[in-house]
Amino acid sequence: MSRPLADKWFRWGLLASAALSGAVVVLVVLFLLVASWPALADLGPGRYLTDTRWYPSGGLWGMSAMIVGTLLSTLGAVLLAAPLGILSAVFCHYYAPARMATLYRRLVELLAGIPSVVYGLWGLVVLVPIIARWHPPGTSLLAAILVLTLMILPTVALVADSALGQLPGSQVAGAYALGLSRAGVIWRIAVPAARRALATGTLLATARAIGETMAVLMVCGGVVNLPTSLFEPIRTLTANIALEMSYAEGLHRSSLFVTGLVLVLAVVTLVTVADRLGEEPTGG
Amino acid sequence: MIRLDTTGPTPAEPPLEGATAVPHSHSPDSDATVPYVALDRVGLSYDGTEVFRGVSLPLYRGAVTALVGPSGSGKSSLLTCINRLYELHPGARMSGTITVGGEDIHGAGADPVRLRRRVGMIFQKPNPFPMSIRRNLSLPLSEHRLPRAEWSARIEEALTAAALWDEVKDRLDHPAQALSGGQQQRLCIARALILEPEVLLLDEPCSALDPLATEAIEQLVMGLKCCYTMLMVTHNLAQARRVADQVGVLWGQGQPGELVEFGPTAQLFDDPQHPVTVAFMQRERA
Repeated sequence: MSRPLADKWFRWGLLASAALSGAVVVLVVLFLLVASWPALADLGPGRYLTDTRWYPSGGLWGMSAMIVGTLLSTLGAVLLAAPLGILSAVFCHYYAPARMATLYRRLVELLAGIPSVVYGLWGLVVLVPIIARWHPPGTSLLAAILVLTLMILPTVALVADSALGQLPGSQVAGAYALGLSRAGVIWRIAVPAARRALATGTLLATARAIGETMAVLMVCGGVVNLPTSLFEPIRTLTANIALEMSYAEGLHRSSLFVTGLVLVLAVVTLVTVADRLGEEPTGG
Repeated sequence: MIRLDTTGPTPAEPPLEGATAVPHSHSPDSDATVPYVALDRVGLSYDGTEVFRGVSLPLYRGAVTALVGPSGSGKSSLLTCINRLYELHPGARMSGTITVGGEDIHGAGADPVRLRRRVGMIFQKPNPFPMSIRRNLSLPLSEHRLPRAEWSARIEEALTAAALWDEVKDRLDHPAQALSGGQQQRLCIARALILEPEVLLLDEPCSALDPLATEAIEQLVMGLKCCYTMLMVTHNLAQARRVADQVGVLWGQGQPGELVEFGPTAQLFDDPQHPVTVAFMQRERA
């Protein structure tokens, strides 16, 4: 095959793969819209947002308790995981001896690769009984937050680690040459220089926390409840779909797709914001 | 305030001069025959491999000393001994003694942070931090806890001393990395000057710059000469001849570098004594 022809085929091949991947995303969203349309048209979006009670067989379709459950568990996990992940990356880069840093990176990568159901099992068998002893029932918002924290911690830590590694050695040397202390180099230069990447990593971790289903489902209790304390059980949007999809029919089934649509919207918003943050030029 | 030659641009007198100025252990009229920085049989090794050895070198106030020699002879590493920057490399070991203003840099009570405030360094490639011009300059001030009320006066003074003020005064909050290479290097000089050091180490400061920017930096170095003790590493013999008052030749191909010859610029260029220097000068001229 001649060079230009091979080039042409390669180009078309790439285009086709890209188009296929793009089409899949568009089709999934379209499918969600179509599947949730009967419920949205029949009940209207207001019904889902205003009521906190979800009782499909009784005609109660309130999703707000689950939206709040999702938001609170995600927020709690991000508030714990973001500083922990960033601090551990700082330690790894600036304080840990080379061997320890390598070992630590491998461990974090391993942590990222553990299936979520394993986290859930650990949460159910270890974490929930501990919380139950402290403040029953154990399956709770707190358990969901802690399990989610563990799950998104590697994402934050790995992104932060690579972001801190982007700072050129010449700038680090320049900073030390100005008499900056190690803490000065870290907090005045390395972290500010990496701030966009750190924010992007945190947002991606947030998206992961919103979408996480199995681990949360196993420890959150599954009760549709607007929580007033960390120890109350909750149900997240993802858990709602997983719990009810096997028997839902008609409007109920369609309503589960509305739940999915809300999740997709939330994640799309986060990813868009993360992209925007990543795009902006450095400096300023 | 930042001291300057009368022929150079004169910075405005800051209002609160004196009370918070960096304490200098010398007076501007100190004896010119006593070296301000003295290296005595200094050697350096990385992880057991010697880079250079036995270098004794006197650096005088108000003079530029150029260090020339082939790549790999350890010129840049020698600079990092004077501000103890070599310590960033975990396997680096220095031998011999260096005194700055009469104080042993490794003596009891010596501290790299205090030393680096007295010994500024300019690197081969301009290395402004990824932040605004103003922040690049205020960062060392805030790290060393200088009163915030002085910052803007000091920033103007340092930029004026680095002959950059007129070019950037209207865009201090723009990213430093948007400046041209030559401007970035002058910003780095301003950043070093803002701490009012006594010694300036220049590690091939023009190697990444075009001829015009190089000329600007050379002019600047000449203007700063009066008030600082300067050591400049350069590959460019013509530059050493133009700028330096004394020149040292560090030689060490395949072996640890050694100072083969050292003397006043004119003598070293017109009448080199050591055969290695003679050969080096000839080869560089050719």
